Amino acid sequence: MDNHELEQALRRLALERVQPAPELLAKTKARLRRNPFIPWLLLASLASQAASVAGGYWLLFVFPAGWLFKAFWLSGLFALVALPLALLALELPNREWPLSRA
Amino acid sequence: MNQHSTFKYVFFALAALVLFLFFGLFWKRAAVNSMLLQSPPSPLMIKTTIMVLPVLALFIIAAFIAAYVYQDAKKRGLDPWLWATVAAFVPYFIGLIIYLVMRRSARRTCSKCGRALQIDFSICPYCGEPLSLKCRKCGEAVAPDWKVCPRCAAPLDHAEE
Repeated sequence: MDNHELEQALRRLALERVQPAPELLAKTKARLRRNPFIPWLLLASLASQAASVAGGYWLLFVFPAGWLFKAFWLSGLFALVALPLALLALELPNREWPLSRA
Repeated sequence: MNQHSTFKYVFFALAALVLFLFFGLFWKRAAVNSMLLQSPPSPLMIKTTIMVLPVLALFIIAAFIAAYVYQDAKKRGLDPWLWATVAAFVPYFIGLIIYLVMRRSARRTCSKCGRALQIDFSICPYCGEPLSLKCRKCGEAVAPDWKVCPRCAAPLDHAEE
């Protein structure tokens, strides 16, 4: 295998790994469209993102505490967000995509 | 320690961390207020208490989401503690959205008689068709008439319920 073939093979491998299979993508979109709560959840998600920006500003610039307290508090918040995300990242690839309904 | 109990501990550890962070913030604010004004309960203390209420409402919503996802995942044969943790603690409702997309159907139909069945049935109660055959090697669900597992290529004469 020469360099060009190796590059092509690596590029194909990267695309296959990054891009989800088209049928899985279609079924995911179908499930998102079918559930009537999804638009409301997306709205709530956007609202909570905006609220978290406002909350972050309030914590950093309004809340009466020292920077050390704020740094500790934010590191605790980071741990709180990072742990379930890590759990999801570790567990999700091992789960079978349950498609008995789609 | 099995996987279920691990996720259960993760769930309660994260819940404790939420309470710790929240009460830490509240305590700090209350301490600063009482230091500034020297006469608790001050109007600022009352204001602080009112500010706590939306956060408490968020906690209650998260608790309801966790309880719903726990029950629903259990009913569907998924890991309830893992999904309750993801739905309650992944921010901005993203965990809940992922769960709603990923979860498997709570009902399925018998391949032989076509009747609707619950997901955790191992055999059809109407016609006796075995439902949850799995490959002994990799645990993949397989059909009763398959000879080889499509995932690991193991022969399926040892398929188990």
